[in-house]
Amino acid sequence: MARIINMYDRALNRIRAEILSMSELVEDRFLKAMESLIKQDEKLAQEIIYGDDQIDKLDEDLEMEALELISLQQPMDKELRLLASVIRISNELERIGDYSCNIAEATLLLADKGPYFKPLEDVSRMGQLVQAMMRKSILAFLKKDLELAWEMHSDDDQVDQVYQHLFKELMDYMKQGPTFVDQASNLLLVARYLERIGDHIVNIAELTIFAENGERYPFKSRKRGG
Amino acid sequence: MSALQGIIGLAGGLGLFLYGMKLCSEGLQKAAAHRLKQLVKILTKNSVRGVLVGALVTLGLQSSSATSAIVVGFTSANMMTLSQALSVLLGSAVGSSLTVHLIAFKLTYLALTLIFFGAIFYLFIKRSRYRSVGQILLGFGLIFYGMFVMSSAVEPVKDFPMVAQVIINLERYPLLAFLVAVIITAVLQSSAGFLALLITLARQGMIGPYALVPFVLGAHLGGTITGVISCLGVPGRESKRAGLANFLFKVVNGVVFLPFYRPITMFVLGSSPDVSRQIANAHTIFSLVMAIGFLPFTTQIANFMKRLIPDKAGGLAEAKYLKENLLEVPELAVDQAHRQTVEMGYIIYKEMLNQMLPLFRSEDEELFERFSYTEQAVDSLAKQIVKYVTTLDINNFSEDLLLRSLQVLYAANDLEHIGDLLLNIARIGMKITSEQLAFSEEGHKEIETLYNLTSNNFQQALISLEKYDTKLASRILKEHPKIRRYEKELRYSHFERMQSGNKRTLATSSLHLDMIESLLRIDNHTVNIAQGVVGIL
Repeated sequence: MARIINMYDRALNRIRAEILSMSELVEDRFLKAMESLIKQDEKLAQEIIYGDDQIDKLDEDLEMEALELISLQQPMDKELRLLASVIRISNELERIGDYSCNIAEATLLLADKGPYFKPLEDVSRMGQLVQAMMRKSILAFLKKDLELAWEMHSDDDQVDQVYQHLFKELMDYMKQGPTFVDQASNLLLVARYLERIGDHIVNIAELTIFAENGERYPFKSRKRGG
Repeated sequence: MSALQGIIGLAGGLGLFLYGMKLCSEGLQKAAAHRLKQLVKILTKNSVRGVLVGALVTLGLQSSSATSAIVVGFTSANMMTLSQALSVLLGSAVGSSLTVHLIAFKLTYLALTLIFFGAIFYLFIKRSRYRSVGQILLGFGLIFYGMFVMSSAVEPVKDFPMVAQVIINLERYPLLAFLVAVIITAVLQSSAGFLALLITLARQGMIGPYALVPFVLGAHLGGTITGVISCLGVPGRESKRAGLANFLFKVVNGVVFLPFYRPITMFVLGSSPDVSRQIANAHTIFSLVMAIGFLPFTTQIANFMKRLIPDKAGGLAEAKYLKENLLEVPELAVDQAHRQTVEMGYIIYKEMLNQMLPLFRSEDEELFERFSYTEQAVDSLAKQIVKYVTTLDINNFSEDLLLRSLQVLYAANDLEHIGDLLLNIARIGMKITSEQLAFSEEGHKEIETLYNLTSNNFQQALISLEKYDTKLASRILKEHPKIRRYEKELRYSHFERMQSGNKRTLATSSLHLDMIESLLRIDNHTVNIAQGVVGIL
């Protein structure tokens, strides 16, 4: 007879799938937050802020599910790493959700300050980079693809570069005079949020590697191939 | 004075003989029982082969009661039908008559040689195979030496007129001789033992020729009485049927042949000049005739026994939910097996787990007997459940049904182990009270607490199994680490008490630790059951 799939293995698979659907939700919120910012859409921004509870709930559920599995049967070390990583990855995703809210809040703050003094090209590019990273990192986690996870390391460098550039540019605007300060300071915060989201995605990639081979903070401790 | 010496010598020789039989049979069982069991299983397809196997195995084990124990085990596990079992039992009578031929040899010097080599092997060689061989040799040696001791003790006694008078009178009343043989054999629990006595006395000319046949017939019947008594206490109808059928065979044997003891005696006397050989021949003749006479009717006899001891009104071991006709509908069959497993769990809970604690305080033989009966019933139930479920064709099962049938199989197995462990705990309890020991007061309290935790967890697991309550099951799984921690606490405080020189603790240390260990293992099985409920299989 065919060995039936154990409830435990089934649950481990399910928990991976739940990470995927949570990440899809987080990505959707993030895109909408960026859209609300670029299009100065206050209504959309409100929606995102109200919707954050849903992500918090997913994070909590995943955490409880992982803890439950640990208590039902002593996990093997790889399973335990997976479960610990799942708890942390869902936490990283939840943080990304929070940043999406922060971006939506910035939309609201910027709304009554009139149209932007220049099109948000770099911020939007940063958003695209971050979104691509988010997808890749979750794909790497689901496929246990360590090569792909390693790509987050260099992808994040790109995000950081754009951030440095934006930072300098926005500071320069502010130095030109008080007219730009309100908008530029809020946009600077948004850039900062995006940069932080990039860091959280790097954490997801590191946790993916940890779950697979037990290596901690691989990006910090060694360079690629080193 | 010499009469007393004679009796003492006779009794001592008989003791040696019986002990030799026991040693020999144990040694043979250790060395060969496994293979003989296989033989019984494979070769009992038709009844003639059954007789041959019965004879061979009995000769091999030197014990017809060992053979019937094996056979009864097989029938109660449904690995053999009752009629097959009956043919093996008929064969075992033939086998034991071959043993009688063996003891009819006069082998005094060989006996002492066997004892010497047997003792050397048994005492000084480590490998268990050779030790068993040594035990067999030693046993055989003691059998023959016992015969020799009896013979030399009896020799002077024959001159006493009173003894001669009794024996002559006995010869006149064959029925009385028959009954005497039945009683003595039953008391000795060995037909070979009685026949050894008979051969010894006959060699000294102390048995009149016409008493031989009634004595041998009586020995035949008497040998089955132990079996009847022992199978009354065993759960399961099949063993009672087999034991009683064996008894009835011999009764019929007696009733048919006793009236013709005179012509038969003439025939037996003509069969050999040596009286011991005559006795052995008589035994063989009766066994063979009985086997040939009953063999064509084993099926009918089996049916008759089933009517005599019907299936209903069973004790704890009765698997009342496992209905054969439901096997056609696997869904229902698995439900029934589930119900049966849960009931088995409650039997363990109510009959053992819940009644254990008093046993640590005061000795209660009767309670212990009940536990051991319950444990056997649980074993039998587990076997029946596993057999029932594995009869189903799992290949066509839906995943859900497969899951449920595995839950049942695993739980039945775990419950059986829990039964074993509880019996072990009861044994420890008995040991403590019967040896007038006691756990230290603190130790006792700690064990009671652990016991109650374990017991409570078990009860909850049972409820979760009964109701497929996964939430409850996962709560039980979360209790397990607590029990593990507590167990470590108990070990620690136990060793602490040992160090402080608590006398009771020192005296009961290994029992104490064994008890803790058994309780923890019970909880491990409880965890398995709960994991099965949540689907971790």
